[in-house]
Amino acid sequence: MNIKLSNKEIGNLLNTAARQLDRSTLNELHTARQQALQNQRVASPVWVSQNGLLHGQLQLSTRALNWIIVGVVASLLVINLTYWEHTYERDHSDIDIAILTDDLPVDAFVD
Amino acid sequence: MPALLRNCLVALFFAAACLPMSAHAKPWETLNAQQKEALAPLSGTWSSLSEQQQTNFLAYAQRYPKLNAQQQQRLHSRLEAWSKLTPEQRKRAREKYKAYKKLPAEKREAVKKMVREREAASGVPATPPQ
Repeated sequence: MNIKLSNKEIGNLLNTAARQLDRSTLNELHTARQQALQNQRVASPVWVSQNGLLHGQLQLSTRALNWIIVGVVASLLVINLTYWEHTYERDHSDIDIAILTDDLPVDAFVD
Repeated sequence: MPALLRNCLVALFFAAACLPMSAHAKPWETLNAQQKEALAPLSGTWSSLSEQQQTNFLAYAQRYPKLNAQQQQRLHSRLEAWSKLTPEQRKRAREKYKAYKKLPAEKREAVKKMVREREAASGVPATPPQ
């Protein structure tokens, strides 16, 4: 026999069945549900605001944390290199003026 | 975890503090009279120059009053072409100029002679008359 039930009907049947369970079984089910919900909250990477500050639960291994720190340090190095490259380019005004005012035209020094 | 978050924020703050202080592009109208005089050949293309280039050229402008009339004339005649070179071309030009300056005087004269002969052959003198 193949009976098709709607979600609501299934819900009603489950509620009726649940009411027939004894108190201790219901308590165990309730406890198990609470534990499952608690585990789900801990496993989810969530960030919540409490008192204006960020508090979070993020499941990351020590290895992952190390990689994050390595990434930040590498970014700092790249930023610093870029900065010094800019500074290096900026500090050439002496020689640039010399080239631009020399007897020889600029073309003589350009490939 | 808050400790890690705090450390990351400190590191990011440090990274931001290390960023080069970018000189904001200055419109031509905001340059003073001396800067405008020194950089006059760039008046038409000033707004198209990068902030870095503008900073470089403003450094030239600072030295402009100390140049003699001939040097000022040469600077004016070469400034636009110089601004159109790529950073790599300018870097190579500096290297070649340094090497040229290290040559003995007679070799430098030989190079000058060669360049002038080349200019004469092409019919377009690139160097203003001395």
